[in-house]
Amino acid sequence: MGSKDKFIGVLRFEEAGTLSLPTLFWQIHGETIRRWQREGLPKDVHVVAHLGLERVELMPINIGTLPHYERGKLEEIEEWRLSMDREFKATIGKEIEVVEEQPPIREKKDWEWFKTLLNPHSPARYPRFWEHYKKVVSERTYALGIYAGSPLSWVAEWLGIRGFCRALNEDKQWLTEMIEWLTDFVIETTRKALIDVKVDFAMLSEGRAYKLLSAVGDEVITSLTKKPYERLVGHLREHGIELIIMHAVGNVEPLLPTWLDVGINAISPIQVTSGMDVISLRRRYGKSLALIGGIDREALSWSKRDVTEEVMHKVPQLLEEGGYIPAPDGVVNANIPWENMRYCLQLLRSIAQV
Amino acid sequence: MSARERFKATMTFGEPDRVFYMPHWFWSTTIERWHTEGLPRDVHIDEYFGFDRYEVVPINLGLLPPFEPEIYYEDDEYRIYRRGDGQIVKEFKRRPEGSMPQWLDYALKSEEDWERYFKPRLNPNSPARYPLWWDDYVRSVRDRDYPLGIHLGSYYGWLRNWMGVENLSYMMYDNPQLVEEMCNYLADFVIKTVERALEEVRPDFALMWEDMAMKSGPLCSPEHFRRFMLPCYKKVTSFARSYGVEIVLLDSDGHVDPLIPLWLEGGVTGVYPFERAAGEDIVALRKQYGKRLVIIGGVDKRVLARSEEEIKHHLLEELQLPWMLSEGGYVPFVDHAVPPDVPLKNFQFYWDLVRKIAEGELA
Repeated sequence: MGSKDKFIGVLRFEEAGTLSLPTLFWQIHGETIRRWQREGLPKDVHVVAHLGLERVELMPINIGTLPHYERGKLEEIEEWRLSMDREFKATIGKEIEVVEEQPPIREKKDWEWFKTLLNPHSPARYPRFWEHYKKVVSERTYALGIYAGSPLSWVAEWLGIRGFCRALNEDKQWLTEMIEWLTDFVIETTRKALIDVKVDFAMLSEGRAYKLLSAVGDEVITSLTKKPYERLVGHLREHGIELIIMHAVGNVEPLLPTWLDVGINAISPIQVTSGMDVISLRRRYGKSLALIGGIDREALSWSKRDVTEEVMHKVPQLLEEGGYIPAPDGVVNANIPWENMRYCLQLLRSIAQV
Repeated sequence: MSARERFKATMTFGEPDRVFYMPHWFWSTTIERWHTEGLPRDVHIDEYFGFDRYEVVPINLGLLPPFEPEIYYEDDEYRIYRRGDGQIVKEFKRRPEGSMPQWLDYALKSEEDWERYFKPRLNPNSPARYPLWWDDYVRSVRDRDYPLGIHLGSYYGWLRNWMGVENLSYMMYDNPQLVEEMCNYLADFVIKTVERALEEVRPDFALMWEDMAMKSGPLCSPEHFRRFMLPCYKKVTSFARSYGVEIVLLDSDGHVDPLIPLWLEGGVTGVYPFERAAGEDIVALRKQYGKRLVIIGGVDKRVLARSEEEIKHHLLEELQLPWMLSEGGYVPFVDHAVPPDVPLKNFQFYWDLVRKIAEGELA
């Protein structure tokens, strides 16, 4: 069975007992690779191929700010440089010292300017040779997905959590409009791609949902996002996409009912350290929610016995039921030894063979 | 005519519908400047200027693994560090693109270094030399409409990068057997590495890289080139030719004239980018070599920073662009990356003029 059939079949609960090891959900930090090379990983191989991971990709469509909204220099005073990091926190000099949160959108006029970076028709959003690309991927053997954006998290990122809360109190309508506008932007940007290429899945990402959860609660988030998500999922379904994955770090369990309700049917990476657990999610949601991830990276960094306990506690049962792709609960960090990674994959393969 | 057909016709003195528009090289600071002068920030640059597509099979012929990067010293102004090819350089931190580094040391000084540090990094069978999903790549280029090239290596340039000009020059006298051995090893390494790609992809052309000349002439004598490098050239180009690769383009800056006959003897069919500042005169070269030499480049980057009149004079009078194009086997191309002293409007003027001449809009 090819990697595409495995990936899709497993997440549709059609391939119980089958192990899929998709590259998209086994992301490895560069520092980790350097550590592994010191511990025996050959230095002249593709790590992904060496580990036997399977190709699963997202289409190279750019739905970020374009041009990329970059770390901007605010002002330079002698040797001190006031700048903004990726989180839009102002810092001074080399030390990571937060002065005050300086998100790029502080008022409505900032948002009007920011929208100019979000033109769905910018030529560089698509690969330059799109006609060739779409021909090439029409004959692919691997699963290909489309990134469907982060409407809620983008707003949280660009306003800052504090700004988001302030807007919620003072002008909730503005927040709603922004999320709706971004949803339209994603729909418009991806429309041509979805017409031209039959993709296998879509992936939304809400990296800031858990932060917002603790700040404003799930009811507020649901009230802000339910309709836009419904429109977005409707757009994806209209183009034949059945599998819609939400990638969200942190404990996002309170949001799952809403996400399921709008048509999202898979979740990753199911972060163990924040209290998420694949077994209880399966008990609670059954076949309505496919699960990707949930292997505690901390456990992978300890002894082989810990790796065994972590894997054997979760994987055999879920693999047997289907709808589960075992994967680390985030990017594989450099605290995980090479031997443990090899052992973990070996264990997963042996479970699948039983 | 597809870009692939156009490329082949241009590079073989055939009859293209128009000349192949080679994607130009730009400094990143040039693009930054042009963004402030009206170049849209959300476009593909090559598409914006209407350059044709060409690609090179992404095979890694470098040292694998590269040397571990290591910083030996740094302050606010510069850093001293080891690069992946073993060079130890001192480089400005703030504008590395705007200046050459100072080369302090090299990793290849002796036969022992060659055996211990370099040969193990030149294993043609290293899996990462080929793209991760090679079979799919082969499928993706099968019915291409654009030219696809393959790299055939470097037989002076690589050694110079690993040893430095002085050390390599001395070694040609002190230990010529080792230079010969290294060159031959590189040729065999390249052949073994690219064989599978030649077989499965059937590229349209080959590239070689040397950068082996300074302003006044080559960095090694033609005699030394003949002894050490020419046999390798003959070996790799004839190997590629056995797979149908007839077009072999070589990249070298500087005043390369004394080397051109040797390159042609070695199987090279075209050279770029012909630096005007190093005295390269493409009109004289066309007259001298006729259809034996494809010429890519020769447009003086320094002139592009001047007035429109001077650019026009350069193209029409000095480079005799209409005549060069009518002769065939010539590709207009700036004689290296376009530097940031060139305003966007000047580059646009230059490129519009080239297109008008190439497309017969200018009598």
